[in-house]
Amino acid sequence: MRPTEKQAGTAANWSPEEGQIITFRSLNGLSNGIVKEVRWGLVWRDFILDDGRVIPEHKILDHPEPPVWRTAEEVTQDEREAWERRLVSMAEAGLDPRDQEQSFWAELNQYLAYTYLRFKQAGSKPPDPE
Amino acid sequence: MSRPHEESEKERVWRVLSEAGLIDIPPDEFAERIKEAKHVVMGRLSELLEATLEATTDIQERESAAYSLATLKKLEGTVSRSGRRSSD
Repeated sequence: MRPTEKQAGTAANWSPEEGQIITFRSLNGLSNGIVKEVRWGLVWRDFILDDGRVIPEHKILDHPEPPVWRTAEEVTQDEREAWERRLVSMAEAGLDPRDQEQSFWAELNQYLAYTYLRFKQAGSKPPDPE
Repeated sequence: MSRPHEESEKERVWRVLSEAGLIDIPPDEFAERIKEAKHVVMGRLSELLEATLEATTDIQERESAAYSLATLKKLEGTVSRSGRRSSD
């Protein structure tokens, strides 16, 4: 661990910020990484590490439960369309979504979650009370 | 002041996505999850096509569903192609 990086806080002072070290659940057990950027996706926040890996907030140790997520209504049409264009571009560029912790995997995962929530909920909403 | 409704809504969303297997999709399950998402969008699109669309928001919703369906189909093609490559 480089001496300048701080270990990310726990639930009491959530959330990790740029330059902090996070510990997260990975394919091979627990891993560490340094946060380069935090950005909201269509549903949850992703933590982009300085080595390019993308870690969803709910995979980080000590994240709040349940995590704070956006609702489908909060996502604008422009944002959704930009996300869809980006996904199609990554697919056409030959990226493989099976590369875990990479951008395509992370963005496709969020898009499927958002799409499911948006259209499943919209189709099952009870009628408004009169 | 506590906000029990908001908390239960968060938990509900978490449960819905967990049950649908959409929180952390294993690499070999993308094709199946895309298929399920397509099924949900097609169901909603059918509802919207059957309904009398009067409000502008309904028409936008229908267009969004159609656009999402087209995106999912493109992604499905890519995922199945890369799946074949990795199993060769």
